[in-house]
Amino acid sequence: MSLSILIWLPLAVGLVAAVLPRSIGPRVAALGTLVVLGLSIYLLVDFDGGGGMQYVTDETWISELGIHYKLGVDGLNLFLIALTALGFAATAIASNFRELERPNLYFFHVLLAETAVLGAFVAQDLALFVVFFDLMLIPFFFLTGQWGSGDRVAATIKMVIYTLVGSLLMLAAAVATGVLAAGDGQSLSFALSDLQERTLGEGTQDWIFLLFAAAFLVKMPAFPLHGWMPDGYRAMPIEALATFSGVVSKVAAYGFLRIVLPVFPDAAAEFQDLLLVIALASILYGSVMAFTTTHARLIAGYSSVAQLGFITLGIFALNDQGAQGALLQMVNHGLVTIPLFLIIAVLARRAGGSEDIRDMGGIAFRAPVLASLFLVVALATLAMPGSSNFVGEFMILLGVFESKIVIACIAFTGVALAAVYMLRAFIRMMHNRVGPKVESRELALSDALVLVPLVAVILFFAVYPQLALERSESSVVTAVQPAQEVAK
Amino acid sequence: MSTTSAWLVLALPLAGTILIALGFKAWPGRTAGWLGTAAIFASFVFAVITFLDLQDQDEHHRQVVSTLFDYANTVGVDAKLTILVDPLSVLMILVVTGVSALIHLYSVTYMTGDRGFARYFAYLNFFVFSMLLLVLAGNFFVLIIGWAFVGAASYLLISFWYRRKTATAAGIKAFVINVVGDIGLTLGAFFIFKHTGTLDFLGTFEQAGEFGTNNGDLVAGLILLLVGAFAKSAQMPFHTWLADAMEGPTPVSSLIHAATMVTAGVYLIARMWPLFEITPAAAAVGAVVGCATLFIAATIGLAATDIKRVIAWSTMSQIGYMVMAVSSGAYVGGMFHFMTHAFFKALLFMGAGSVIGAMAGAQTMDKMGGFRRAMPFTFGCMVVGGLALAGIPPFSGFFSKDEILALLADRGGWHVALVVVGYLGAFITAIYTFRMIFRVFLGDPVPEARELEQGHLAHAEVHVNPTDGEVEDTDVGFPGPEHFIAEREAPMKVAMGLLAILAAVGGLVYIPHVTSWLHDFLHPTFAESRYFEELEPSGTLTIVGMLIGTAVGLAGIAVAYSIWVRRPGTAARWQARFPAVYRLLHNKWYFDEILDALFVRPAALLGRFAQSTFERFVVNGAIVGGATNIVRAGSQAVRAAQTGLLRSYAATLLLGVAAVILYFLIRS
Amino acid sequence: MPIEWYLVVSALIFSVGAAGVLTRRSPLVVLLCLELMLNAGNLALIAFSRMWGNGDGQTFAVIVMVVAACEVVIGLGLIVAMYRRRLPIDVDDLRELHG
Repeated sequence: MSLSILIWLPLAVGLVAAVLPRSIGPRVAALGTLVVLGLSIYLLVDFDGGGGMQYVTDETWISELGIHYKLGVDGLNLFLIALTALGFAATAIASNFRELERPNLYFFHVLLAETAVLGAFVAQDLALFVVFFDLMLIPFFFLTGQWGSGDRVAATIKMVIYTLVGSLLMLAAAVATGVLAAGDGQSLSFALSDLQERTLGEGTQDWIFLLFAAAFLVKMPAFPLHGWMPDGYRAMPIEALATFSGVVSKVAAYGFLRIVLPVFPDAAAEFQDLLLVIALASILYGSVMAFTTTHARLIAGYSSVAQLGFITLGIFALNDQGAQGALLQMVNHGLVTIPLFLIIAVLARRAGGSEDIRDMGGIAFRAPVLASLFLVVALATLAMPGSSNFVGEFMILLGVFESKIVIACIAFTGVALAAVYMLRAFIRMMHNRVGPKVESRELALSDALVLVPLVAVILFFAVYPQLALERSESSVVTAVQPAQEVAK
Repeated sequence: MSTTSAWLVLALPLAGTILIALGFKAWPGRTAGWLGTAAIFASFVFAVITFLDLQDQDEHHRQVVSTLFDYANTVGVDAKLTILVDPLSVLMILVVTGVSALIHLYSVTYMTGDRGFARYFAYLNFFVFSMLLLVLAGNFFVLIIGWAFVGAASYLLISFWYRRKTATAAGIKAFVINVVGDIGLTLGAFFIFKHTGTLDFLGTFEQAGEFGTNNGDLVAGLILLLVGAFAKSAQMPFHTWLADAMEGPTPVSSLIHAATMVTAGVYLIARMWPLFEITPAAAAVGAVVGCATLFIAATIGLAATDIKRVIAWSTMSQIGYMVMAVSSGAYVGGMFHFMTHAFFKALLFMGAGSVIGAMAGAQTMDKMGGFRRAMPFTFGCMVVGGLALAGIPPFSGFFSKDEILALLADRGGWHVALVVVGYLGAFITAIYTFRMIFRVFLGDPVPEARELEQGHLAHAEVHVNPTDGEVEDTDVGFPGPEHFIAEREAPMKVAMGLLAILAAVGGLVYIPHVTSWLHDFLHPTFAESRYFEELEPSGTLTIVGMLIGTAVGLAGIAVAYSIWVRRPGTAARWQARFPAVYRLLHNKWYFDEILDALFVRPAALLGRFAQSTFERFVVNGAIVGGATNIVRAGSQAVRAAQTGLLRSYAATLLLGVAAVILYFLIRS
Repeated sequence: MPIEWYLVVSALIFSVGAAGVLTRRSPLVVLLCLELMLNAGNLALIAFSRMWGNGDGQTFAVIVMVVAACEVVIGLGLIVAMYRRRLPIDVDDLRELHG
């Protein structure tokens, strides 16, 4: 199967859907995401666990600059592709049940976003990655600006400017990498496989590394660069937010594993402590903020800051366990965040449209199915042992424990705090007395259509995380090996 | 040996959970309850089959490992779904499934009429599955999963009546403290894994010899494991959740917070004996904490007035004995006491549930009294349970408690001090146990008791939460439009009766120098232990210990009789005379307040500071503000050039082109 | 004839056009002057084409003419629209897009 089909299909469907009548455009768009999901599942089944990079497409795109249109799948991005397809399919279906202005355009943007995210995941050329990485911002700019709520224009501008600054830093860094890596007599190349072999000098690696790190940390977002998150999260339409938080933030973490560790191993080892401290600060700060805020979206948002802190922690443990855990955790976090935001939307509809947990309460009363689904998601989010998230956290912390024992011990605080903020949110929304504006009613069939399969996937991974682990093991080991050797 | 039956022991409660949960709307009447009970009974049957299978094996082949599939077996982490069937785990599954089955049976009546009947049994079956997973775990990973699952089940059942603020608050407290325990367990496992490179129990124990005495990492790891054990087993200073956990339905208190889950810490320490024996420093921590808990919890039990909380404090105290025992090498004693305690403590809770039913939901002993004639069956069961708890021969608690103290005395050294505290604790135990029984059943009958004597079960007009006086939502089920007492309901009667028999005769399995079934049975697990065979109290020591135990127990009952029956009002006089002591006990030694001041408040304060100050000024002000302001300033400058005058644009364009041309002309 | 003559003429026309664009305020005249500038360009292109003896310049000139035609259509359309709305026909008064 050609990966080009996988990544361009959403955009093609989006274009078609945009010109169809309003009544069927959204349906076609949702169908398109389902087809992409089917393709990604085919990829999962067909993938050869020990086979390295597969389904490679390699065309010269701009020969003078050595930029290739190179795509490929290996253990690092296999499950992230599936997660992306699943996330977009779920939110596209969920959006289908919503009253939207100009629905066709909305779905065009959603599908454009899917193409951009998938492209960023499968790109095996640095320049191509940068293109897709920046392309991701555009649909979300429009989605927030046109279909958002609250003070959406200010929020959009803040978010776009802020993340664009990060993107520009990365663009500069990418250009510098390509140019400086080409030694005497070598032609320019941005293909990651070439870049890995051309090692940069240590001083050069350091500043380029910092630029990349800044871009990725903004996108994640990580403390203290998360400033755009609260406003952006409040303004974005919630279905779009589900994919943004669940999938787009993973591109940044994935960037560390795919690009930074293999290409700048010396710098990664040099700045290991810095990144670990940032990750640790994200975990603690995100958790503390999550249990003081009362806005449901922000609880999920700050919890993402903390969870991505764990992921960064695992990546910069610079050993196999940490990276393997981080990769698994990326998938897991996406799997729980998407239903979490969709559930918040469902709950807000039962609390008179308010997303403040002070206006909720007692929703579980007449909605046992909703309560059960939420409970599973909440327990998975707080990484209860027995969930796949725990496996991820376990490996991350084990990895950090083996490289920096003190940081691992402090990071465990985040595990306890996660229990506090997640349960607090669950109790204040679902339990206690029924709030004044709350109307407790069971999950509608249309919501169940999306939520039940998502929860089923969470449960499946809880029972059998080995499925993801055995397919990613060899790629992860290869990715961290250079940095690991330097760190030793 | 085939382990199919052991897997079935695990699978049946899980199947029960799924079946009840999926059909929660479809099950008519009490069907969900009977289904759940049947699943646990079947599980018990398979536990017995497993036991018989194991006994058929040769002495040296009684540790059987079985793996279902790879769970997370990658990059050097060997987490597989593995169970370990050996005498220790089989003892645990027998007691867990047996007692659970009876408590399920009791619940079928007790929870009738509750809105959440099916939900209750789904949770309860899930709990049993989790507990079995915990005790059957063959490696640290599965252990941690079971450990967390029982915590989650406990949380769900504590906040079962989730519309009460007190119940949800108690639930989150229990869950968070248990998560702290999970963290201790996980981090402890990391310390051990660092040296052994395997999560597997037997693999770890094989390498235990290579550690050397008091290896630093192992001390740290085991103390962290103890944190896990203390949190789960409500030992100091992680015990505060258990008293609040009494918010759950009474059968839940009986099953989870008395008989099974809270003893998981004891099981853990016993399971880890090869590590603790080479790390005396960590074992000493366990023994001392257990000893301190047994004393402190017992004293608090003297001042508690809520009938369920008295039993809860007693549970902490009794688990203190077990923790002390297994940490000091008295494995048989600890496991023996676990078993008998499961019988008599479950029985006491069931009795309390029956009394609460008669009181229409009220739990404070201040309002109770004189139920002896109205509830003879409950009274009889409570007396049997109370005598077992107070350690009066020939009831089961007598043998198990004395076994612990005798083994500790035989160990000698500083353990003798623990024995002294143990007897002191036994004395206080007898007092508070019979304080409870005398206050509830003797004295003048209260109106509820009198009505019951005339055959009329009291029903409260307005249901109020016994802890904070809030008026209850009656449609959510607490304390239920209906409630039940053992005298009238066959399932409750059967469950309590069977447990009463077990509590009375359970001690027979191990009477020193007469029967040693339990010791022989557990032998394969502890075959290489230093203390298992070595600690063998002499005949004299045993007899002397038993005599002291009996004397102390009877003395305690006598004291309770004189204070609360012969001369009522003594207690009030003493409270007035020693107000400081009373306040200390009444406020539970201020542990809640201390933990609150040390952890909860600082965290909340930090959160508020981060929310109101740091986020606004540093993150939004300096960092985001900085970036956006630079861009804004730049755009301001560019805007000035944007006049909107078409001709000025054209001029700029021309001038620009001219400048470029000029530049190239000059250069060339 | 040497190429310089063509270029001088072209430059003159271009300057006339540019001066018109800069000084006149009627959009119609501005459009006319723009046409002058484009055609000055065309003249230079054709001259160069002849100088090199190939057709590239002419091709360009044709494309420029097409573009110029499109531009006039849009420009005139805008002006007509302005008349219809009774807006002032003065480029200096049409400055709603100022920053």
